[in-house]
Amino acid sequence: MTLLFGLLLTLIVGVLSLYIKTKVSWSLFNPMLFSMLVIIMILTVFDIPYADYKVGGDIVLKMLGPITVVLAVPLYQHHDKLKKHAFAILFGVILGSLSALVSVYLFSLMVGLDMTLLKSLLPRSVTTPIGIASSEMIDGLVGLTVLSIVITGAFGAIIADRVYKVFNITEPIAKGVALGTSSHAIGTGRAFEYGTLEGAMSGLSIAITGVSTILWLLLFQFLGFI
Amino acid sequence: MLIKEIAIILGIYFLGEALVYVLDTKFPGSVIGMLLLLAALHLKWIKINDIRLVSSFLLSYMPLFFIPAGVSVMVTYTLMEGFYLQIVLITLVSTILVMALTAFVVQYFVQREKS
Repeated sequence: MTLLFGLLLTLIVGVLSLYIKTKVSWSLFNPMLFSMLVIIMILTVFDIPYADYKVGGDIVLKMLGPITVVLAVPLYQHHDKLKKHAFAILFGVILGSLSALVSVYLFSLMVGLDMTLLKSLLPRSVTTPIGIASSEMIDGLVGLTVLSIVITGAFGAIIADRVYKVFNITEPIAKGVALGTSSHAIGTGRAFEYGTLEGAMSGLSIAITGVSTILWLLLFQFLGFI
Repeated sequence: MLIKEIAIILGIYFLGEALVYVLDTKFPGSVIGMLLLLAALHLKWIKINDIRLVSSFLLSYMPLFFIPAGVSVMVTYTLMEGFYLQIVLITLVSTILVMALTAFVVQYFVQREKS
């Protein structure tokens, strides 16, 4: 019974919010965030312990493994576009993902966040399934990681125009790769509004950013930073 | 066939987890699985058509599967108390920085490769 409760609640609220997404014109409506808030509200109002929800919720989370595996599909479909400027793209993504980690690390120390919060924020620019796996790998709080990933994606999509204007970025490949590296799938949605080349570049960068971030995190661990 | 597609994807995921176990690394098995699938697609051992239904299902409903991870903040939010503003600020500033740096580096090298 408990197992079915968490499972059904997640599926029903999730499917409903994906439906709302197709109905509202607000492109920043985030089905994950919306569902999460609705479920927390339901659990709070009816005084249902989180542990009771978790039993079924964990079943849903088990799907993150297979989802991560099939992220190879979009990467493969766009790989021909990687060939021409492979060095520029790979170098940009590898450096970009390092800058995400270093900046979060330094800012967190500056404002006095403890190690657990710092670690939870580190994988914030990668796609959610890989972000969750990364957060688990370094013992972060998965919930905070997911939230920071959503904020990152939404903000990146909003701010891209301004950033590209200020830093004089006109090259479509650069715009796409930077959106994918900094703001994962939400950024890729924005990149496709610029054009198909930008979108493909952004989509390509998502998976590369994920792998690169994990490798950097392992180095951080090896060096004793986290 | 649906069952065949599921078996292929789960099989690759299993290989990824098995490799992690054998190599005794903390690298997530699912991400190794992603790299294995990418390699298998390149080598034409597996064709997109062999996994088309299940992969497009998983990718299009992806946000649904993150929900329980998000809900977990209802028990961990107390650890963030007093740091909400800092957490949001760090996220925003770092996002701008990553975007600007990545775009700048890629633009620089693409233009150099073109000329």
